[in-house]
Amino acid sequence: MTEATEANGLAPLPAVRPRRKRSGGPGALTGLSVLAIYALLIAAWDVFGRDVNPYFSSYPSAIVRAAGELARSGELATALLGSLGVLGQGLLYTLAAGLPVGFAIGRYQFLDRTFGPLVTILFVAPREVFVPLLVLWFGLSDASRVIFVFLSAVFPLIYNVADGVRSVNQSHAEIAQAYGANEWQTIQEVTFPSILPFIGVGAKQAIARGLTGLVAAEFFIGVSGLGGLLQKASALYRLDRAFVVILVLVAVGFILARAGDLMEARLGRWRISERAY
Amino acid sequence: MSRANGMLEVSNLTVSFERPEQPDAGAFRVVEDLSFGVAAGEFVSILGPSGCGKTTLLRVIVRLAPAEHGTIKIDDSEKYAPGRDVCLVFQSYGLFPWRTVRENVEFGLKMQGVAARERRATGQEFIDLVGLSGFEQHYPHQISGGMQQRVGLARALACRPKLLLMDEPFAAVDAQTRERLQTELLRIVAQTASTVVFVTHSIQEAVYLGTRVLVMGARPGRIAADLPVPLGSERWRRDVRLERRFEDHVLEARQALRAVSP
Amino acid sequence: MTPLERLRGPKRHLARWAPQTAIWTGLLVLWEIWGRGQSPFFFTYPTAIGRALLRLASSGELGQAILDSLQVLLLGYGLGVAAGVPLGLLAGRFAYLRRLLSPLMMAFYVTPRLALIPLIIIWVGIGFWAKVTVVWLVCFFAIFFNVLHGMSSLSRSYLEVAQAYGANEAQILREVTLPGILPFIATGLRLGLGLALIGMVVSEFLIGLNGLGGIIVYYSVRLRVADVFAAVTVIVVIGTALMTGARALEQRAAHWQLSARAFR
Repeated sequence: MTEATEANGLAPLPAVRPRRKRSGGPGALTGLSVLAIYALLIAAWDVFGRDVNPYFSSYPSAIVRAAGELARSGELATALLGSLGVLGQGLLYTLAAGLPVGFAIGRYQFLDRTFGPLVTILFVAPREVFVPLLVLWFGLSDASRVIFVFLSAVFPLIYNVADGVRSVNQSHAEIAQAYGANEWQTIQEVTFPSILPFIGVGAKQAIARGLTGLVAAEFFIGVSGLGGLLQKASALYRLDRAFVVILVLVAVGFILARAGDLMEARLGRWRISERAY
Repeated sequence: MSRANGMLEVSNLTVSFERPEQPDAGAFRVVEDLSFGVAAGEFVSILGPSGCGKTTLLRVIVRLAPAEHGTIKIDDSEKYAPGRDVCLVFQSYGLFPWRTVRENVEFGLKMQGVAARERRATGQEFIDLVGLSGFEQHYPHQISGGMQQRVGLARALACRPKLLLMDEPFAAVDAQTRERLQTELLRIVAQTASTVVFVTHSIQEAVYLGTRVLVMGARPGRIAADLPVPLGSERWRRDVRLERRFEDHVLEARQALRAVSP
Repeated sequence: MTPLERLRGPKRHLARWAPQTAIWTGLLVLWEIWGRGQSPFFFTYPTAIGRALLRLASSGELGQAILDSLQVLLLGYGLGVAAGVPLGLLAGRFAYLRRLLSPLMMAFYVTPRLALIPLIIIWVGIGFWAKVTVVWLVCFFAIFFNVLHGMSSLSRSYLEVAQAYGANEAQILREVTLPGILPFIATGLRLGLGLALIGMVVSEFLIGLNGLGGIIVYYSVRLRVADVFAAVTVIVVIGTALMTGARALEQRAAHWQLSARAFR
């Protein structure tokens, strides 16, 4: 409805908000109070967490200590590098395979009708069912893990790219042809820019799915990387160490999510400006 | 105009907004010390340049925005209820896309707790009045913009408010539909004996519809001119837009507006 | 008129899908021929999978596993819905709550929830409820985040219209907020279901080997690949059927959005 208001060219009001008593709106005070509540919770956890059975829980200062241990022994760095290596390879193959396959399926109706249902099924069904088979075929190796990350990540990309190619505005292609563009030029100037936002969305989903796939792979396919470190720690009831690994995973997840958001925003630039109308 | 049986009484109204993007600049005064009255049965057009606070004024009357000071009385009471005593017809229709035409028209009645059977009967009456019979089960996206605004009008009238507010209701429809809707509005208002405050930035529309035209100046908004338009009642029966005196009133309003526009 | 267009009804349908049917039949036949030449401990082929499926079904193993799996899935998912929708509504309604929870929400949003399984095993044990907890955990957030996203996407103007018609808080929730964000709730329910399926399989791999996931692991360590494929097929079929149903419900929930979607 706001869109309609702006579309008819009348002075909109949204830049100014009615003066009103603030009830929990964003403000410095709210931010500080939230910070204070978290500080209080962490302090309370640290004080009372010491009395809880250490096999079932931990507390902040123990977690910090464990982080120091894991960092000094080099275990954390090894695990992190191992995980990132597997994830990076898996995502690389995802990109290499997902773009052309997605493009082909979106472009050629015949391929879409033949293999589209399979892509949809593999997109929606739980991929984890293939883990034992991967172990059977490729052993408890990095190869198995990379393949699993690839399987987790590739279908969202294929699905979105195909969707993008299908939804290229046909009139744009016709305009290009009316200006004498040939097939290749049309792809270059119309199709490709049109599907960039879809590639962005697909890549973002692929990264998130790839990370989940990585953790699952490191749980099931040999104990390795961050997932392995996490499982080792919890098998030994070292909850302090387990929390360290989880926090590292949060950090990795955060950085990857930011990267995904940036990619989505950057590739979808023209779309965002269209949405503003 | 007699102020004795005033349906709407706005006295010394001041409204300010703060600008979140520049909080140090202080509040921005949209409307300052604004006073006017509307008698029962009047159709008052409020005409003004963009950004003069016309829409804000209506939003304050239905309490979507707070007044800094001043009083607003409807039928001599400050404790009027939006949706019951006063209804607003929105510029961009404000229909709920997930409700059918019938459900949209009955919305205000439902909010008042009117029983389903009575709601249905009243809703149907006003659907018929605005000429939407047969479209009861349609969703807003299935009908044209002009029809959507008829739904908005029926929704407001179905509450039988003492005062009907309209915020540039025809701004988003094409010119021909607009003229037809204007004429129909006059008929409907006469049939329901409604008191109307109608905000617009179209001079012709203000003069054609209003029994009185208030011209608002901008920054801060205030009443700059109060022009009676004695074109006679039952204006919809003959097209006064074809008459010379209509053009005279338009000219008068245009001059008043020119005087307040930068 | 092309020859295809001249055909009508089921005949036309058949003709339209004939090439696809041929290709898939061909692929299955190739798989059959090639698979028979491989070691049965390493690979399998369609008829062997069919036999394994029949054996699993007639022994009652499959039926029991499906029951076990669905129990975990539906209970965990139901609890996920029961928690995710109201909490999403609350967080959407109250800015302070949203602000307070945002660091935690951010952390859970970006981190694979599966990483918490080892902790769940420690805290909840390795029984039925641990599996339910895993399913709950993985689907809860998808539902919660989608409801919250719906709340923030709901146009303010709808609320204003309702206020201008004198609606109170409860009426706004019932008549405006809930129907307005229904498409988002439905999307959350669909995505949550997909994740719940993953949670079900993963928890059956890790916690007390039973259910369909248990069958997969049991037969894969015994190198009975045909049985593994049979169980995989069943999970994929169940998962696809559930997701197709959820997708249909989602599209129904969003029927009035058709026009809005036109310029998306």
